[in-house]
Amino acid sequence: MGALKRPASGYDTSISHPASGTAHMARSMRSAAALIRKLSDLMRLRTNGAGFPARSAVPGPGFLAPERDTISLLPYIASIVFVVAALLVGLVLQRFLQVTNVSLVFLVAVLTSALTGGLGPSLFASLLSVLAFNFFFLPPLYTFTIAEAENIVALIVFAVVAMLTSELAARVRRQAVVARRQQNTTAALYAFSRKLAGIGNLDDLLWATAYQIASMLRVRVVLLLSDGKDIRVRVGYPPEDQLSELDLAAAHHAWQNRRPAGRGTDALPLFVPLLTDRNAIGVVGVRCEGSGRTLDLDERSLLDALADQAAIAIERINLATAIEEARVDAETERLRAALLISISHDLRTPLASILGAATSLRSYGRAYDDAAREDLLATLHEEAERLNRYVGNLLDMTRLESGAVALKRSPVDLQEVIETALRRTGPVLERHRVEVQVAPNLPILDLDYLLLEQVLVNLLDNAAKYTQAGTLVRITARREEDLVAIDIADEGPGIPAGDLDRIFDKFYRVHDEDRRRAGTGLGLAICRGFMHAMGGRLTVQNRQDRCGAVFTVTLPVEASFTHGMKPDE
Amino acid sequence: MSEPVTILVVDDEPPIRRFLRTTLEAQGYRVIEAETGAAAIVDGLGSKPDVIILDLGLPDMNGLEVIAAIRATSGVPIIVLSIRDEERGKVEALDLGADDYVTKPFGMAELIARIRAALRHRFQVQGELPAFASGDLSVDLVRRRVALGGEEVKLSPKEYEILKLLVIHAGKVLTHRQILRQVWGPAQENDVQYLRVFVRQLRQKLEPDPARPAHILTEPGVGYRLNAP
Repeated sequence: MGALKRPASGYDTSISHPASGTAHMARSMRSAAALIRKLSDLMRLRTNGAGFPARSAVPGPGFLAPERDTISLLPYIASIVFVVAALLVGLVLQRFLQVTNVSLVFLVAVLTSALTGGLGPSLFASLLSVLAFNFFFLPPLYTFTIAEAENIVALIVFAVVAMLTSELAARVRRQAVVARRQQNTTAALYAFSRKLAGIGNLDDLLWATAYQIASMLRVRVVLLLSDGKDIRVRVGYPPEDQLSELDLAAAHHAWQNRRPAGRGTDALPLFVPLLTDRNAIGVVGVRCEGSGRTLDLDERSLLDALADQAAIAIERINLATAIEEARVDAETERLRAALLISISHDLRTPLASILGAATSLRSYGRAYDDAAREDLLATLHEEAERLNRYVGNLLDMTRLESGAVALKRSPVDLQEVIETALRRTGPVLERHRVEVQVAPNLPILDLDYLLLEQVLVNLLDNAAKYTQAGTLVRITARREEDLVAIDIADEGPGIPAGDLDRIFDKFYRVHDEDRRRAGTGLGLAICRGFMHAMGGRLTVQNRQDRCGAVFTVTLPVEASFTHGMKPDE
Repeated sequence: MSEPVTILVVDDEPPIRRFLRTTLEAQGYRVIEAETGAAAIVDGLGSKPDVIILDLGLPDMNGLEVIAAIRATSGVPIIVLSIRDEERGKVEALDLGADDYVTKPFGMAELIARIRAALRHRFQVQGELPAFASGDLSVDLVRRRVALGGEEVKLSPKEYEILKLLVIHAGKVLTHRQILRQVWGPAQENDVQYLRVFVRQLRQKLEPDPARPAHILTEPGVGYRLNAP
């Protein structure tokens, strides 16, 4: 019959060995009352009404029903009924079946009364039975004379039977009640455990725990968690509860010594440490409402069980958080390292060409003919431009990463943005064919000119870099309902199907077998970042009509700038 | 002109002053240098240069203040050197009286073109209306005739006014506001969208590929520039 045992707590949690006989009897009466209530619920007797005190006003499912102190009349009335029934049966047996020893029938009434009513009603029933037996069956009939020792014996036997049976019945009832209670407790703990398992957030977990403890035990709860050095209040139910200095000290004591402290009364809360096998991660404090009430042994063990579960769940979440943080740190480190490597390489490469060409001209320039000199100078120029672009990319990326992309909105004519973007990429697109088709009457958009221009420049730069000289790069701008779309289509090899999404990742470059294309790998990430900042989108698809890629910039048409156009003056 | 054109170069970076001096002197200009805004004002007003190249990022004072100080008494053309992404600085400089700008890092050819454009306007004889020819486009302001590849192009009055202004300042940037104020009047100087529509019409008529104009160039966030040879 062991209720939940808590290791090393020193509390005996079994309830089948109470202290004294009076307590025992009182207990059995209370349990009996409780059982009768439950049985009558089962038998669907109407129990609302006279005789039953109102349920306690404390909220919660009332798992442990409040015990009644008043003695109700119903079991006694039931005893009368049983005895009367036995009497009638006895009379019938005597009259029609000539049974002489009908006392056993009264025994049934006493037994029934003991089973359903408990000790008091059964004693009452035995008294009634003796009287009835005496009156109706023992000569002289219809008198209450106790003539022979038979009657006294019968009375004593009935009384003894009554007491034994009712005690037995009470024991069974108690055990049934306890078993029922334990089953309910276990079910509730199981449900709580499952609920905890599904919570991934520490605050939700603490709240659920506090609420569960408060409602299962009908107490006021406060949960304190340790942050390594000290504990502090994290959650409470009801939420407005405060802890006094003294209470905090007691909580601290409980946490540090890993032992419960306090009593659990209204004046002196009980603090139970939340222990895992590694350390004390916090303390749960409970305070009973109502003067003088403290937690009984059952409730203590329940509290311990809930505390254990909570401790395990909290530790689980703490571990999960630690793992996630470690993972994020590792990932950040990886990106940082990749960034440094990439920057170092991409800045030093053009610098190498610049220094090489410049020093070559300085040291040996006299010997070069015009063609050689022009060639070196061209290299100087081109590589310097390249470096300029990289620096621009890095700055753009830094702006995006640090969230410093402050939009400077102004009315923008898409045709003009395309024009200036093409001008900037003129040199790069020198050896390509370029076609531009801008739909007439495209709305003027309210956005950041330079951001959109940079997006187009990066896309055009890519188109030039990743396609062969002489191929066509086509830019079209069109309207689609409440969106405006700019397509940049090339005639290159297109994007491998698996990479269509990943090309917008930082540092991602499609691997080309021919030769590694120079580039920071940031261009498209920047494009996407800028588009996002403007409330637009950037997507890529492979062309359907031939091989090649199409990048599409879409922007919402929000405030259109329509101006009252005066006729030409 | 018998006297060489004098250019005042104002920049606090020695390497920049160096390569500017080398290049400009090789082009036949006389170069004087200033390192600070204060010196720029002194030299700008005292030495009477023909063009001032002014870096906006000076250590001692805001380049805009230098412009304002010089403009108080002198109309000398000022070309500012600005940093990319600094849109507001450029427009403010132009509004305060600067004539043009180049964005660092810049190509030397671009700067030389700006200098020529600034000087062209400066040395224009008052009242003389230039003839303009660039590529296919030719504009005769005296006869009010615009031709593309020899064929006359009909422009509406406002379109012509805009083109005329661009031609007079050929090679130089004109802000939206400057154009609007000149062509429509001060009341309209903020109707940028209005101007855009007219420029678009102009391009339709004058540009072989309106989407990639060769003549009327957009200066992002600033205005327009007529491409001059």
